[in-house]
Amino acid sequence: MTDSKKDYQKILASVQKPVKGEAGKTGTWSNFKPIIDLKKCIPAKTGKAACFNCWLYCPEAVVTRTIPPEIDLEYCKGCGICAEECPVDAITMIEVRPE
Amino acid sequence: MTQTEIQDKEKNIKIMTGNHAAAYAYMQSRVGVVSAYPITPQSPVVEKISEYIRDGKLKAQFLLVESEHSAAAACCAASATGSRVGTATSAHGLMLMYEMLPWAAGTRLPIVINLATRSCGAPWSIWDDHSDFIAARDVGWIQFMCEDNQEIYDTNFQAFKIAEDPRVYIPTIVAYDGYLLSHTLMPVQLENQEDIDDFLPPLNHHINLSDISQVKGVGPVTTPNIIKREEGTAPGYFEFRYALQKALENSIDVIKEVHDEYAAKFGRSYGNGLFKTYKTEDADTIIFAMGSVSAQVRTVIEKLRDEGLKIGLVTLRLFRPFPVKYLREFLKNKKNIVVFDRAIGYGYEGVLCYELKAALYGVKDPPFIKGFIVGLGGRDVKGDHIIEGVHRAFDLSDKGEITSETEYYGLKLDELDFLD
Repeated sequence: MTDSKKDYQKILASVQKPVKGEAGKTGTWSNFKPIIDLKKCIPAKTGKAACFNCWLYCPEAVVTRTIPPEIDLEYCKGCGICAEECPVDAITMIEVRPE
Repeated sequence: MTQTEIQDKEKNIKIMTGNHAAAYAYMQSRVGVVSAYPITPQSPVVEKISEYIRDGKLKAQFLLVESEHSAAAACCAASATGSRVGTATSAHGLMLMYEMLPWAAGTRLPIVINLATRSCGAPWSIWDDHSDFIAARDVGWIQFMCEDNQEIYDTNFQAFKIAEDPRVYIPTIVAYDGYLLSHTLMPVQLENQEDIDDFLPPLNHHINLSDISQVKGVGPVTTPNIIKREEGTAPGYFEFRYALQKALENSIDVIKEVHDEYAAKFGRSYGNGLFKTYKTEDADTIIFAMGSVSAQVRTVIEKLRDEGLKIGLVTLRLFRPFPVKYLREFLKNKKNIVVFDRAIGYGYEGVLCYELKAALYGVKDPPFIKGFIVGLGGRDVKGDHIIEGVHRAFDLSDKGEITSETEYYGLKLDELDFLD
């Protein structure tokens, strides 16, 4: 084990880059999954890069900033923040029951 | 120093409270972000800071928040953007910040908290003891305890410099006794801004999230093991915490170095930067205390010496990291040590007392150590308490009675007429 004063401070420099799936497939934690109604969703309905509240507010960064937005259910924890923030109520949380 | 230089220096002496001295030091440290929530007896610190910002004397962002927890969280976030960050609190304010304290330490954010110490309820008390200070002991912060307003002012600059040193990067608490210092006026020698700027250059943070050219994760999820992947090897929690402990252990050298640099530049020193000594040259008995208790002890040392006791005072300045090596070296040949604690390690004894006992573990012919609890909840610590405590310790020492039974001075059970 090294004990020089510089070496252990290098651990700080290893401040990590965001990596997909750091804590495993967190989608399995969810009790609810979000379903986007594309008839209501603003970017989907208008074809314009607008709104994207779901993308902005998702704490897990699993929503894409695309038309239409897509949600990566492998990592979505089902918190429901996107549904809460959606200004046109286009997102519904559906209960997921273990098989 | 020439005569004119001395006169110039004297012009810059201001009469100020401990809180004001802390706020003034923040201003001269050019903090970039302050987020705080008012709590007695700390409130005047942040009131002063907001005045400085209003008057344009300090260019900083003052974040108003709804609680101390949010204040601490905002400070962490602001620090991670590369800004110099300070806040102030007391007692339950620190308790509410507590959840964020290990985050700041683990992420190695060089935040400074000024803590005007106050007892923790219940029962409700706004007066001074060190309960809050010692409660922040095991979260990985550097902790200073000051004894007068000048020391508060001086220690703040040192605290930022220590916390921001690339060999350290550890958040720091600068504590001082609530009311006894926080609200008491004393003369404080203020330094020129240019000299302070020279001593304390702008922060060069190891994390700078405002630099968006580099995407970084801060406070990542770690697993019980290290993770190897293409982007590089990610340390586990264990490695991060090892680094914190090593940095704390080695920070003692930096603390001494920064203290010595400050002393050379401004002409004021505080012992060796870790603890201060008073009349210890020929002493075989040492009174060990910190903060305002020490100020009280100083007033009776002469009286005790008139009794023929070879007695001196050691005032702890750096509580964490505990300067074990230096205390051992200094105290190993002493006969008696009498400790006065202004806080109880509940269920055990006075905190300074048991920490000192542990520090002297394994010393050959160790000193006899006896601790007393004084001044909880702002009760006056009197000279007579110190004298009685020393006599009591000598009694026990002569009899060879080693006891860790908690004993108190200033406790007035006999005045409670409903007690049998």
